[in-house]
Amino acid sequence: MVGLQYLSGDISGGNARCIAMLQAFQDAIRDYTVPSEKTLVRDLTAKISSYVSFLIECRPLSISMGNAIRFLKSQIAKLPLTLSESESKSSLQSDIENFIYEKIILADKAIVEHAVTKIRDGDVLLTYGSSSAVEMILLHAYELGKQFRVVVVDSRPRLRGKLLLRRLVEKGLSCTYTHINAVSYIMQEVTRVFLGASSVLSNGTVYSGVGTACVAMVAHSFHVPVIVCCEAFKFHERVQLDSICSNELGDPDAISKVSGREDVNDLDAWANTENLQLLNLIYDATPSDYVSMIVTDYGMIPPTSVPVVVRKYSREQVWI
Amino acid sequence: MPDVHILVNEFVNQLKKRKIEGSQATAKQTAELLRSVISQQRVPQTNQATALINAVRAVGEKLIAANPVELAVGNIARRVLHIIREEDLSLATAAIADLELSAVSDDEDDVERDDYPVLSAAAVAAAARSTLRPPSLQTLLEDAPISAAIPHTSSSGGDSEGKSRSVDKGSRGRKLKHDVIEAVNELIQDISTCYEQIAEQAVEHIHQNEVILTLGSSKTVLEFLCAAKEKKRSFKVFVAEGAPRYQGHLLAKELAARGLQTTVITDSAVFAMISRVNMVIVGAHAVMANGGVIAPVGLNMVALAAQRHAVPFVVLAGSHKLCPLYPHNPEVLLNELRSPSELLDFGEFSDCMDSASGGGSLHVVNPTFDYVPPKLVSLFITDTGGHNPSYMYRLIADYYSADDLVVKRRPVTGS
Repeated sequence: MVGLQYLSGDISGGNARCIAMLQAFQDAIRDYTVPSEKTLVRDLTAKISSYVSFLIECRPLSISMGNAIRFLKSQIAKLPLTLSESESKSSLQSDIENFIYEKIILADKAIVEHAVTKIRDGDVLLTYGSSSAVEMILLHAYELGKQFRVVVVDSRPRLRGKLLLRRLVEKGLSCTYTHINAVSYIMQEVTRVFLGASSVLSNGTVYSGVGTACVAMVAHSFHVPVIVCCEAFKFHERVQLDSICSNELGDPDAISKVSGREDVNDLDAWANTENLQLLNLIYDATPSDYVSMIVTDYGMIPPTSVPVVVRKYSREQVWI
Repeated sequence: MPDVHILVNEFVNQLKKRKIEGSQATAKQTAELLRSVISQQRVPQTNQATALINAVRAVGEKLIAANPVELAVGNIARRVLHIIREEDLSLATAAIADLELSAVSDDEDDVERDDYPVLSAAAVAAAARSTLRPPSLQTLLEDAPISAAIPHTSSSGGDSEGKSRSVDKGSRGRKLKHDVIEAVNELIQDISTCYEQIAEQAVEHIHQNEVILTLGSSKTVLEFLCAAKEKKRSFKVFVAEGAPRYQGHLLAKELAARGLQTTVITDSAVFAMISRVNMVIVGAHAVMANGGVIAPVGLNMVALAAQRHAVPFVVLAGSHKLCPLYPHNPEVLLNELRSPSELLDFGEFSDCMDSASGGGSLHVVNPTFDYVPPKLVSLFITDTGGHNPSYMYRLIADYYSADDLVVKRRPVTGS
């Protein structure tokens, strides 16, 4: 069922997807019973793998979800054989619970604590798209009574910035809304840029929603610091140089239709027109020199320290 | 006169309400309007050029004030003023040549009369000759004392001739108007055919199997790419849609209809795709004197991405887009904000605005243009050929006079 939610786009956003997936796994484990001739470890691992392939069919996994699945499989593999079935199941469930709590919820709290120190009165903060971490930072800073303005930059085709904008305006922040083409115009007024990430790769490249690279590049040319907020479990030891090697393709029809603007319908017959294609990229890779600082639950680090965190993190995982 | 006023007012209204779009259409209409103004302007016997210049200045000032962001209007007004001055000067040269011959023949009379008119006429002739000659060290050294006298003599040159040749004057007056109108017709012709001349150069720049990126839609770019296609070059085009007007969709449809492999991408994907692109080709709204470009919004982002990946950024611009002004704070002064309804529907956020606990406010920003600094542009392709951004200031000397930079009516002094 979670898979169908992914497919329809009801659940979007790295953390939400990850949490939903892990909770679905929790339910699956709870309802699982071992068939008689097989061992718990192998069978459960196989079952999980089959669920994962179903999810992949609905929508390709994000990198953080891949990390979470690897964690789960390693936990299953480490189960001592002496435990009974119900004990193993409950231990796995509590492991998942801990994972969600420590790596996502507590991590977000730590990130907010660190990042709020970087917001001063009179700041104009720019954010792109909709990131849960950045939203929490902005709301927390507002509650602390800091005076600042927010610029929300949005882009097609998902227009996720509108959701963030709605939540911010409801809470009472002064916001400016614009689209990604106008980012050069608005960047003159901006003092800091806060971006979320789907993942941070080992060479410091930030892998995030398409358009993040453009925003970071323009900010860099106007000498505005770019702060990326990302939980540590999203770091990955992969490296990537540009956005084409590995990316996700979305639905091309989303480009031809513009929601709310019925007059833009030139591409309605695009499928029938030969020579015409629509390309809908979901992610892009921001080079590390555009990023000033990455805020994680381990602290505030420069992009060059990412492989160190990855190493430490994977070692930590082994010891849990 | 009355119906010229009506035409002018109509055009001013159209400009104010932004009913005319596109620098080519605006330039053409401005030129045609100024042509009517000139043809209907009654010129006095002396100082025809000044009368014409003042008339054009008055109209030009109104037009520029109606839409200061549409730089093509000011460009064409200044071009016409330059044409008037040039034609006047060349006529003065021709007349002086006649005058000199006659001056040589009846020497004693001229010497008794004040030296000044003859001297000034000779000075004008020398100056005219020197402008027509290519610059060399000799002319530079000659020019220095004489050039100071030119602004006075160009109008008083008419006076001195007036004293000696009254018959010629009448025909010369008609001839000036006639010449100016001919030149303005040529200008209109140039504006209409700028696409062909730019498109002719397409073959030199686009090779086989190239990948081109463009954003939004521009007729110049369309003609350019199709011209290359005609010459049997096969290449692919990525078109970024150009929110919030989505004109990229139109361009992509056109290109695909003409047989080019086209892919539409969102503007946010420009950085992602540019590593696989060989060249970026875009049109411009206006080109400023320092080589900077006023371009549709989003192109500064594209230019930065192109610089990062060392992809050439080529700007196509007809000569009517070349503006002799320097851009001071162009993002603000040479920009226009459009309706926010293109981004957000009018009623969309009213519910959360009501429930906002005081202090919540929402601004929507929707600029039309972007400024691209000259260091990000690799090449300008105009109807006169390809140029570096650092060369653009030189083209201004061909098309505009220094006196016309501020198109304001000068208070009528002794001249």
